[in-house]
Amino acid sequence: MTLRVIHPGLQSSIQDLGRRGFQRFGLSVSGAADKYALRFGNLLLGNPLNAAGIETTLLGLELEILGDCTVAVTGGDLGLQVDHNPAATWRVLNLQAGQRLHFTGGPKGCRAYVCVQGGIDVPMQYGSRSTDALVGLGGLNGRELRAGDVISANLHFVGAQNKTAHLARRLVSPRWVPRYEKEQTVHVILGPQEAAFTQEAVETLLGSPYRVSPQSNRIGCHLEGPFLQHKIGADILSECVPEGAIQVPSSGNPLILLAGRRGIGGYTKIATVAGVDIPKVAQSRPGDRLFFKAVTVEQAQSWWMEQERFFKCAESVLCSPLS
Amino acid sequence: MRRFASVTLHPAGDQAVLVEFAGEVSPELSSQIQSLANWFNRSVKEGVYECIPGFKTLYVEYDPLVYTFSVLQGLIHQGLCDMPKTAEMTSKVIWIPVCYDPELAPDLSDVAEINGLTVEDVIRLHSQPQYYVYFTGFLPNFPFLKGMPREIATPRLARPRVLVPGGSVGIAGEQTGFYPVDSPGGWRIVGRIPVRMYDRRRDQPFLLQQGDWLQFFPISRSEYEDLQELDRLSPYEFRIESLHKGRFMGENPVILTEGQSTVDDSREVET
Repeated sequence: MTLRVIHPGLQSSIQDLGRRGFQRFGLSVSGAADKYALRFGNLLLGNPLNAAGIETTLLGLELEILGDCTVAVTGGDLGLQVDHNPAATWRVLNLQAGQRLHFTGGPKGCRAYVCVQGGIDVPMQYGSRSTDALVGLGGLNGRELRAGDVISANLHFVGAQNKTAHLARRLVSPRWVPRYEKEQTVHVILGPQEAAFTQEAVETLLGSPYRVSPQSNRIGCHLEGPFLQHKIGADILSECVPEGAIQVPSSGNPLILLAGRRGIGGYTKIATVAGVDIPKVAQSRPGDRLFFKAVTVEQAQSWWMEQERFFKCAESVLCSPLS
Repeated sequence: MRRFASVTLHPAGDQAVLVEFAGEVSPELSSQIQSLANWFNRSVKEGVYECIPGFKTLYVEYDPLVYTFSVLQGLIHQGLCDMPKTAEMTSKVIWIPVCYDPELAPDLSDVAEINGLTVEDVIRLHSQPQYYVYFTGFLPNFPFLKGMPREIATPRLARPRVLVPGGSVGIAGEQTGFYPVDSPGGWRIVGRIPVRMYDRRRDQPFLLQQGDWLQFFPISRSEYEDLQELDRLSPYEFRIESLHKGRFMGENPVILTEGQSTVDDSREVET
């Protein structure tokens, strides 16, 4: 249950569901940009939903299996190959020593997750294994992956479980696999500072497509589109910024903050993406177009509750607790 | 009349709310914000992940499976009624050595020039006041301060640097602060702290908290080198003065450990 990084690809790092409760001390929440995909990878393998996996971006990551390994790859279609043959995602793969996983670049989505049975075994720091590379916390030595890194699964967990056979045929029904379309409708809750914008700016945001810019990364999804006019200014007193916040600096180009953001920001936020739609933003790639639609907090919370009840229920049926 | 500032609640997505306090930014307002945060920590055991203070806001991150937005609104109002008017806390003054050598302070001469001052003026004005820590965040031990003299206020760099070394002390508009770790950044760098401001060798690496005061003191280049060398061996021992516990510390602090000192005079810069 060990992997070696042959080529690290783009922005590949170890992430779980994030480091909560330490933002006031300056630690970023971090965690997978698309927690829906990471959680499905863990469900497939019978891992706790919070087990750590490898997040990678667009293309290039290549991994060699050093010891027989049960893995699942979820997220976008980034051209996964096993030993140069196309391989299926959103299902369990049993791999033998010497085999290679390679993301050659694919048609859809921006990020993929490599989950291993047992979860990746790196030290838990401040309640999480997620990499916060700026501070040097979590992951493998507090940094992104490099060629030559060796990553192990939590063998204690795998040993205790010892029932890999029944996993071999697990796959996610296509109805639960996102389609990662080039044009997506993203639901937002207006605010917290929509009052800092002209009425016209709010209508523009909700009535125009915004194109994802190549500057985008785990910290945020940069958008290009019609200018959003502030009433007075773009700057506010610094305060905590949520995942999914749509910040608008004076340039007028929105930036949607993602999992890798730092916790404090000083720009006005016109709206915040509904929790269930954050994976859509995290999976949008440069050139994709986003359309925004306003919903109430109550509506967004009811979708979120439905999703979370599903995950809780699935985890209790499919997963074993970490011993 | 209610004895606390009035607040406005803004949803920040479906899992957080920003509680915005009315009134001017001040240590007193900050203490009220902290008091509500403390109430949550004490009284709400489940469903609230974290409360994060800002200059005028408290950000409350919650689990909608435990509290819907409307239920949480009620909880916040209960907190505002039940909480003490100001936070009970232990406050302290932390003395931080800063070397203002031009080699370590690439923007010092620009800050002087832009403001029509000498470099010596800038150093004196920057190291004179005690700065109130409104909150921390962004990076570990990154303090959000107010109270820098207007005479040395300078806009951020038009083009941020890709890498600012950890310990760099900077000015951004009317704010000052420092980068605890290597980081990209656009602040004007006017000095450097020789010791690690986020030091994971410490049992308690989060040194600063809301309500603390920072005092920068100038050191020479040779002192800088010496302290840097010592810091390699073991964590630097900051000079720390404890302030009176259990009451609002915005003005006229009572220093317990070091006796009355010059601290009270410099505090006037703040008020």
